[in-house]
Amino acid sequence: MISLGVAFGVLLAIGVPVAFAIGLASVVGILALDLRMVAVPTRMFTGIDSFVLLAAPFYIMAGEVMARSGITRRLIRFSMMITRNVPGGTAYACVVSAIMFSGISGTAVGDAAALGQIFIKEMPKEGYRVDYSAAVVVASSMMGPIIPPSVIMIIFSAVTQVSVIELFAAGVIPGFMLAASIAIVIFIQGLKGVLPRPTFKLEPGEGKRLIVDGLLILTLPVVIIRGASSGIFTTTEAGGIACLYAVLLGVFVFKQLTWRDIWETLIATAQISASIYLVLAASEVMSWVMTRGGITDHVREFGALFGGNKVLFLLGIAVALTLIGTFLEPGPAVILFVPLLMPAVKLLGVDPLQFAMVVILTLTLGLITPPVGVCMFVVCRIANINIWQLFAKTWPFFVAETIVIILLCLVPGFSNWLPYVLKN
Amino acid sequence: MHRAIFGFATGLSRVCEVLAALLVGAAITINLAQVLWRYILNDPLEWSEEVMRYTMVWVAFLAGSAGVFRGEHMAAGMLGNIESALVKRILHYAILVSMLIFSAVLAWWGTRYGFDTGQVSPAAQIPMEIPYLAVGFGGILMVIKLICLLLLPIEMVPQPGGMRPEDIA
Repeated sequence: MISLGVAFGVLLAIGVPVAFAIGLASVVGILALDLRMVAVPTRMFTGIDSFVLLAAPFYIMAGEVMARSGITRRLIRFSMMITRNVPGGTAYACVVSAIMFSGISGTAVGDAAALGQIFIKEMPKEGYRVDYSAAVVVASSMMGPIIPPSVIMIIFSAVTQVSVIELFAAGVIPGFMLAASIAIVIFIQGLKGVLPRPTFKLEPGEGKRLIVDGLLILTLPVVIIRGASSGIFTTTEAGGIACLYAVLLGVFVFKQLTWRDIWETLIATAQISASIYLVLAASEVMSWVMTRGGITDHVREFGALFGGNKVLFLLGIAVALTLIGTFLEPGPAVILFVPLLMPAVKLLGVDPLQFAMVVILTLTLGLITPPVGVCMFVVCRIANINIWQLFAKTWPFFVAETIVIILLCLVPGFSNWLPYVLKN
Repeated sequence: MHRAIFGFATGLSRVCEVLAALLVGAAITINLAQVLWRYILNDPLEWSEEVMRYTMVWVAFLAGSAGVFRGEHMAAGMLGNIESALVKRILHYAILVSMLIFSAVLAWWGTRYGFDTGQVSPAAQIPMEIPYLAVGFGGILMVIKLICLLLLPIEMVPQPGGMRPEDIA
């Protein structure tokens, strides 16, 4: 067990790609525990041969199609129209766009890349600092995996049997809480200095068109949630329908998507899905080795620390996962730790949906905290700043989002009220 | 010689990616067909889910092996800001060798385990060798590409995505 941990730490530190670091550390663990090496391919196979997980590539594809079909630009114009009369309007527009874009994309990186391309270039033109613009984008990108659809929720469901659609529904309220927390930070900063006024101008006749386009785009998340929660189709099928809808919108309504775009989307989907799948497959091996190595006992001891108090347990999990999330991606972290914690969750009577939201939010927050966080890297590259310059502007948002996590720990209703209502 | 190796590995990666992209397209088509057959034709497909799952396993290993050559896999790397050329060289080879060892495990144990079954899948009746061999085959492809990378001088190696040294400095 210790050899596995040390090997993993060293491999990650020298820069071995995450999937290989996890895989090779598991091989070390297998050698140390004298287990059968054939478990590596078998566990990898079972790790990704899952119906629930199958939904992930479809949502990745839908997000990619949306980004290329001019939908991102329309959503952003639409948001800017809504917030055009407020000081700091463009910063708020970034938050509003993130809410809408998250309803289509399933990952935080997708949001960070799509919104960053536009806002980090446009906001400085109105007088915002580049690092501040990047911070607003990266904080907003947190909503990507919280507002459904969400790839990380699909992974969570694959390892816990909690229903994907209930997880999707559970994410809606925490997603809006995140949006509110970011908006509050922008508002408070606006009180100190005057935030630039938007220079956004509507072209003649654009307003009506933007509203129609916006409604067409936002139909999609509603169809996904309603269709899947009423059992008309599975969440995986909803992913396929999302792709089809996005392609049809791009080709026939917005007339921007070409065959070449569709082909490039397929390539990009294959690449992104493969890198996620390989990390998950390797995590499955490591999870198996850790169980064989007796980690369950350690986790039980960890669970006993909280003396049966649900809130303390959730807060403890949040602290532990914040540390883990600073260097590990949410996907592998969920696969490695969530199955271990589930027995404690059941024993304490914590609502699995509340637990899921705390875990997913906490781990996602790791994507925007140094030293390792893929959203930060994406945004830093666009803004051409380094991660510490970025974090100097991100930390107020980080604090606000941490408060949201604490609220989720305290009040189960934020997470499980909506799924309950939709079910009945 | 170096150019030939580079060209070979780039071409091989491209082929893997194109195959993976076609498979993704197939998976989406099957997924939509599944809905169509159930509601419009009232004749639910039995094999579709299984085929999609196996298709994605192949996508993972085909496109994943292409990502190995392009350095596209996510890495953390906390020592990226070291200046010394010697240390950089050592790290470069340490990373590639670590990846090579794991890929070799996949290639060796994956093919042995893949050929070993003689079972067919429950719904679609596909011989299980077909999905299982994705692991071993993917391992072999990764080994080939990693050997190519080891043979190339550092300057010709595509730079890893995820993080550049200057992001962290």
